[in-house]
Amino acid sequence: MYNVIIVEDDLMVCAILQRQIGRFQQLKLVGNFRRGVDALEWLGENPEVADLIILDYYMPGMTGIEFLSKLRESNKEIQVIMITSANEYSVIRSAMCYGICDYVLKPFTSARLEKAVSKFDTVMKLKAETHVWTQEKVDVLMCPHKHYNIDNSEATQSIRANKINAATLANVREYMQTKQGIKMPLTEISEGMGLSTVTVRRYLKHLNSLGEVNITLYCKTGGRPSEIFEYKGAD
Amino acid sequence: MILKSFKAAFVAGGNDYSAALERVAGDAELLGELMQIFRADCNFSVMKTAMDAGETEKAFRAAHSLKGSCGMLGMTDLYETMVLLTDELRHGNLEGARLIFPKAEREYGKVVELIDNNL
Repeated sequence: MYNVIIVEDDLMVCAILQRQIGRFQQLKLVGNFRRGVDALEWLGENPEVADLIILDYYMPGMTGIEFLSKLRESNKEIQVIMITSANEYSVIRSAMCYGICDYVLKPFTSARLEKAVSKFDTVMKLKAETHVWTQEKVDVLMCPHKHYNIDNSEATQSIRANKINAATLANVREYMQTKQGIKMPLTEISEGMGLSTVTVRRYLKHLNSLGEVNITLYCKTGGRPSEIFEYKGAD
Repeated sequence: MILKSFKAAFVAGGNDYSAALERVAGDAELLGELMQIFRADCNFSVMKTAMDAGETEKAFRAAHSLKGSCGMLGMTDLYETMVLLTDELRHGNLEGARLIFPKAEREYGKVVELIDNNL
């Protein structure tokens, strides 16, 4: 049984996380904090109680990174899973530098949370069972996601968390490549491809996250802003 | 308690009920409670007031919280609008955020009405 605390200022997200943690028999919730400073105080008063911290980034008084910085001054062992909507590379990189176990973006799915908990499980079991650290065991510690039970064939077919199908992604990319340098609204792309705007937008947003598509807002006077997409090409 | 009428109206409004239910591990009663919490949440009005007052940072924090809540609850159109609006506020672009705000207000109004009429 592993002891878990939640550090999250949003009551709704907290309620969801509590419900989710209740699904894992190996996890026991022992604390729930709205502010990082309160969690740090509790951890100081209760050393070696918590095994895992579920941590948000944007919180009043102290960000998740500031919390990690303080935490690691006195505790390098406790595992941390960040669950946050902060998708800036600077935040992700900083969190990684403080030795987090996983980084889960909101809104998360149960499946993605399960992977995060599985990673944590793998690391904890490895630490408990290992006396001599071979290269193989170090490799597992560095990449715990490669060593828990996932359906690899499904993972190669699609990126489940974003509902991205590899074949459709290739079609969208190919279409956008023929229009490279041309700024287009969503409706034009949707009509050109014969796909729904909802579907096309999902794939264009994915290509945007890969740095291949630029998205700008077109603001007509008196009208609501619309998104304009332009294929830049892969780096 | 989630009523069948709420679920039907939620889905008809283009929202993702199944994703929201999945996030609460299938607990429909909890989901209904969270919808009520969302309804009572003041982040939208805080965001609006802060934007009117030119307080970009304060508006960003409220927008970010609202984005997180509506995203977790499967409120698809509102969430996608709040992603854009929050991004503008994050970069200090109050004018850009103000252009998006009317759509956010419409989408927020839709989910509020949906909750009021069905829960």
